[in-house]
Amino acid sequence: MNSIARLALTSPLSRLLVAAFAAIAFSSPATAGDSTILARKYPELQQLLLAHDVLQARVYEEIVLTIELPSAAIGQRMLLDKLDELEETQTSHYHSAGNHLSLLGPHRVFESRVTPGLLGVVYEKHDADEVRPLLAEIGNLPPVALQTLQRGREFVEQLIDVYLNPDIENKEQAVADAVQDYLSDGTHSVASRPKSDALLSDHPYAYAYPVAFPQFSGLTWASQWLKIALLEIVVTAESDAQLDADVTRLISLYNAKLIRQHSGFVELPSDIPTSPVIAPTFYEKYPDAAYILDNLESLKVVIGDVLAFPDLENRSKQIANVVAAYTDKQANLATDDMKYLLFVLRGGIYNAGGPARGGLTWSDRNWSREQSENPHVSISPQPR
Amino acid sequence: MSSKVLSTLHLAFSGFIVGLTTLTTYAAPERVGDFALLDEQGVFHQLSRYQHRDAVVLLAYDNNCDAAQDAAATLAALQTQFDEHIQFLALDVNAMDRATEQAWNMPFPVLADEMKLVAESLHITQSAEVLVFNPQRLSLYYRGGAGQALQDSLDAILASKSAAATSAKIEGCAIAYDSDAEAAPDYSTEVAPIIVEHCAVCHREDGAGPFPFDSYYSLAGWSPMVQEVIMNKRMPPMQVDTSYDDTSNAHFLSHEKRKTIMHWIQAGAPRGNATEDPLAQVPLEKIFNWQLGEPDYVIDTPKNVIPAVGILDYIYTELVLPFTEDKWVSAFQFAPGEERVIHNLSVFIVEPESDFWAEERQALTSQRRFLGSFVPGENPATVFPEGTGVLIPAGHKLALQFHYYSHGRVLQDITTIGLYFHEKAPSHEIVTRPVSAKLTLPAKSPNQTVEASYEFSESATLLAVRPRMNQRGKNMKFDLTLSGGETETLVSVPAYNYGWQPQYWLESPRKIGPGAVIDVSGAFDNSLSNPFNPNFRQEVQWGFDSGEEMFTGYLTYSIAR
Repeated sequence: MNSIARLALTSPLSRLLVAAFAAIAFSSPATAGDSTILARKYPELQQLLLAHDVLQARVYEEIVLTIELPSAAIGQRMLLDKLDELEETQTSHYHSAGNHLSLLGPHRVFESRVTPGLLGVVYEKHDADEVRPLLAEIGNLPPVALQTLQRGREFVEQLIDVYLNPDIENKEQAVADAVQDYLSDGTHSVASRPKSDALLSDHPYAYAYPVAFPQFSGLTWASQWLKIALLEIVVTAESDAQLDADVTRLISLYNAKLIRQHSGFVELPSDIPTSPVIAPTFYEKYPDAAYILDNLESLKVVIGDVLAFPDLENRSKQIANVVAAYTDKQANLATDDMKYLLFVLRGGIYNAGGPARGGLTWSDRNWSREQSENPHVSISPQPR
Repeated sequence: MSSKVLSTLHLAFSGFIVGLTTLTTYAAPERVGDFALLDEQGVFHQLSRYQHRDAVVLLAYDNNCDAAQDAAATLAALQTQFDEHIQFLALDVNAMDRATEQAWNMPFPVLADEMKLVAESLHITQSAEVLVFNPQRLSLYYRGGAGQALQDSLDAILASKSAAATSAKIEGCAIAYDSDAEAAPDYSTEVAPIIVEHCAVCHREDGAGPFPFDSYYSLAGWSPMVQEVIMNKRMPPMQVDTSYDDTSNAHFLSHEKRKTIMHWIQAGAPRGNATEDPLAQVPLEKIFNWQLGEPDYVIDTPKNVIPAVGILDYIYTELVLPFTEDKWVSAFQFAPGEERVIHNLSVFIVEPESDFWAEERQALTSQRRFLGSFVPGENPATVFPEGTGVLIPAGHKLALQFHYYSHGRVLQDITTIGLYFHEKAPSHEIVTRPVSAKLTLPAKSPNQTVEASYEFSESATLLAVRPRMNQRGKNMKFDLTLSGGETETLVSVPAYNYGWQPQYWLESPRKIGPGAVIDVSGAFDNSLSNPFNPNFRQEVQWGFDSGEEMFTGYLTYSIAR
């Protein structure tokens, strides 16, 4: 498979082959298509979750297309300079990159060209069966990555389904079963324990994705926030009426993150959303499922880093290595849960999109971009 | 999306089986840069502002080329078939004058490509060449002639937005480009002087521009951005349709200057041999000295603290003035405390007991005493024409409307206004009249037109106009019809930008009599295609706040006392 994947990045014919393989590999019945409980009960929300997958696929493709442009060479140099700056700050945690997330990334011209189209993607009508093979269609990722991401998506859909399905009475057991079922394919499942933050922040291409493409990463993180936040509200809702109201509010919070001001985004998350930060009840109740969710998102970010880093040879192989690291159930685990919690909370709850419940319209961090001397930033809103 | 991806995959798998016929299915799309041009009616067209269309078809057109004429006829037929989903445009690669383009009577807009910059950037080699763009991704669907392959491509696009890029043979007339024969422009002697003259006034340390052009390296580093904003006419700001150019303070680069910068960037932004760097010679700080000498009266506006981040709405302030007798203002100057954060400051002179802004929200038109407004990049000093002035009646106060941007740091602004008075009352008073229309903008509407008009009941001399809309504003035009029926366009702002709302002073003030009518016409874009639109899914109502929309054309004129 690796040889095919390598070819996939070099010729149209190989892309075709990969796509054809992928089409076959993913032809199993959808666990969460347009006939799911989610689709029937909350069609708007289901559409936004489908859009998440389209968005992720499109973002990966746009990254590859952008960095291949000769005119992006200056942006590549600026990115390397920014990554050097980060290295020099000697900060060891992922969130220090947030200081630089001005949404004016080094590829801003190219990023801004396509972000309106990406916004359009979010609000277009999507068909569940068509969304499934999108990543494969784009042809940037090796099959092991495609299948791992696909499996992850199905896992999340299953979790949502468990909580929306009134016929499933023992939710805890159903979630535990879903976790076991998910882990049963060791090659294409990420660990159910938290991975070390080094996997995210201490690899050779770390930060390349959010620093090079802050609008793209912000858009995908907003979408991931919606997914995690939904899990929190389905787990904590005490009645159908409350859930209905919560879903309406959730969609409204999500839409607000995508509002533009003076042609830029001002409320997109600038940090990776994770379960303990967004969905504390879900995390506490189902830590294994939450870690899977977080590891999957972390994997997507590191894949983005590999795609965004300049002049990298054999990206497909590098991505396969990244997937192997995340699907390894023994290596690179965080030493304890508290260390993981500290890591994910360090970036700030607001910057990760805010909690699913309770709301947070004001940065909880005790530093600001004012101190970072980065003048062209408009991330968080004024107090309301 | 519906049915597109799956059909593409089926297509792909079929291609895998039958051979190489569908190889282009997974070819990466060819990227194109954004661009904007005016058509033969003065309407602004920007590729990225066609997000609401499935595709944009562009024909490279030369009226002397038979093949191009044939292609235009074919496209005219295709337009009737695809008009609902696809935008058709012609690109006049010879940039003939507007009257000539109008005489062609083409069935779709004809864009004037001055200096062939757009054709060159799109690598168009022949007239009769047709390009089909994906406006959502700024990429090419198709490049070729206007034959069956084009029809097939358009069919495929409508069937599946993920349709593959294809190309077909073109038989047109060759286009020659200057850049083929000319050396790259020299940075020090040709490029940098343009930047100093047109850009560095804002793009300097602590200026209104978000980054300074203070060296060759800064300009070269930002060159992709420079190329983008010049090609899509976002910069310099405050552009008008030069066909009606009668304003001294509109900003634009001449076609020659645009070409110089574009060709320099396309050549790789070479430093050249000169050791001097003109951009490094520009003073770092811009000091707002009193240009007209010490003012007769200086007003310090209240201190406003602008938070580091966030979306800021208007701040309304009133200032009591100490004048116990009438004052006639002959000139004034703003001295901004923090130019980096001021988006707009408007100053009106109002009666002591009035609730000016409440009245302004209600009235569609009313005669006002308007001192002026400060907009970054504009000359902060205004001298009114001889024999005219703005009256500050005794006891009146100032009503100020501030609009700030956040800038990443907490900043405070105390803007100072210097007033210069006539010694004797002038013969004419300058007044300003907003001409407004109320409106409701449906969600996702790309071109909602609005009109308002005012008929003068007295003689006046029209001095300036000012378009005012919020973030969904698209264009605004001021047409004057004299009582005898003669009509002329005074000022047209074809690509309105909320960020820049200057008052456009007429080079030749127009004397008008009773019965003269000013028609203010414009449009709003409440769709995804408008990059300034905060939320294209929302219906928008009339209002002054930036989340609402206003449509006001300000007329500034003098009347005999």
